[in-house]
Amino acid sequence: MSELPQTSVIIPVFNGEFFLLEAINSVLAQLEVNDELLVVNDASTDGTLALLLELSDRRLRILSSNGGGASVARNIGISAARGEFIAFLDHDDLWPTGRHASLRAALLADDSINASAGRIVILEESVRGASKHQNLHGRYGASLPFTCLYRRSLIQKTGYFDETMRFGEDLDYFIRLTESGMKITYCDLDSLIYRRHAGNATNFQPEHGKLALDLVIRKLARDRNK
Amino acid sequence: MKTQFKINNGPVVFENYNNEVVAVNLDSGAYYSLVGSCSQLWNLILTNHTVEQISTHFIATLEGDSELITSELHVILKQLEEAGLIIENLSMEPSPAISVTESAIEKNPFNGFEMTVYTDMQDLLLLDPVHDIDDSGWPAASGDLIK
Repeated sequence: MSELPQTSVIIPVFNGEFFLLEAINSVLAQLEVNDELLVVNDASTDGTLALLLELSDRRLRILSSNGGGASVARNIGISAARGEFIAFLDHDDLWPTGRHASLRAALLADDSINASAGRIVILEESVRGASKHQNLHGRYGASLPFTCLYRRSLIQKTGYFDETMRFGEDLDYFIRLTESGMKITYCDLDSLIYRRHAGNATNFQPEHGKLALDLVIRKLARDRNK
Repeated sequence: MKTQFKINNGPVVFENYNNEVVAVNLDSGAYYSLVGSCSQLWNLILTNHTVEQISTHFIATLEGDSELITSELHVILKQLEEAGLIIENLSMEPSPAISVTESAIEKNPFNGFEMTVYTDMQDLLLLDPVHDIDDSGWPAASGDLIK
């Protein structure tokens, strides 16, 4: 029986053949031998599955979901994850070199924290949507859960992504991580390359105000139900 | 002089339900809960009523000292304005009279205009880092990639 992984990384993907391999390689290059990368294929109709099946790295686990969306796929990944540390990455984003070692070292060095984070880098590959996200560049994406590495206990306490949300589910999750007692340390490095391209669904997302309002109302409802 | 306010619709979004108004100021990242008379006040501003009309309405419908009600109304209007939630409506759009038949109304006690301010999501609300999901899948089909 193989040793349990120290780290589990979860990548949900739907029709991601253009970017997925790059994302996978950026992660595998940083994982240890016994770590695991869970790629959850959400009923892709392009060459995503074929691409995955061609890969032979033993750290790679290919899971399936039935087309329910990113939250459903991430939640399948959470259920299957065995690592003490857990991270999320979208299939069109990348881990900068050295990210994982630094974030993991931060968690190993201090038992009192349960999350470590770095800065976000915006990689623009199209004009569309450019200005909207540039304000994140070089910042600690306190509100972007994918810049972080988490202890398993924090994820377990927080639970799953809200599968009823079509937008902003990551922000909602980050708020809930905070509500679950997240104690985060910020490391002096970039931890996520957030690629902006013409295919980003957020180019077509509802206006920010509606999302913000939805997040606020959900938070108020949770606070009042405590 | 008659004064009229309007919702600062540029940076302010809000939702009105169950006698509560939840409003977010996207410029400041603060959000607000308005309940009771304050929620009612918001809706009267929304429907283009002047401060004078609003004051008259509350005096007619709330049980309490009219001077206190008027005084508290001006305080809360100032707070709403300072929070960037409302701005003065210089164009003074015409507003219908508020249909209040005093004799038909059972007055509610005046408990003040209650507004709660929250700043715990400020950083998040100011950044707008929403990630990728849409109705057709996520991210949207990338065939239209522009390099």
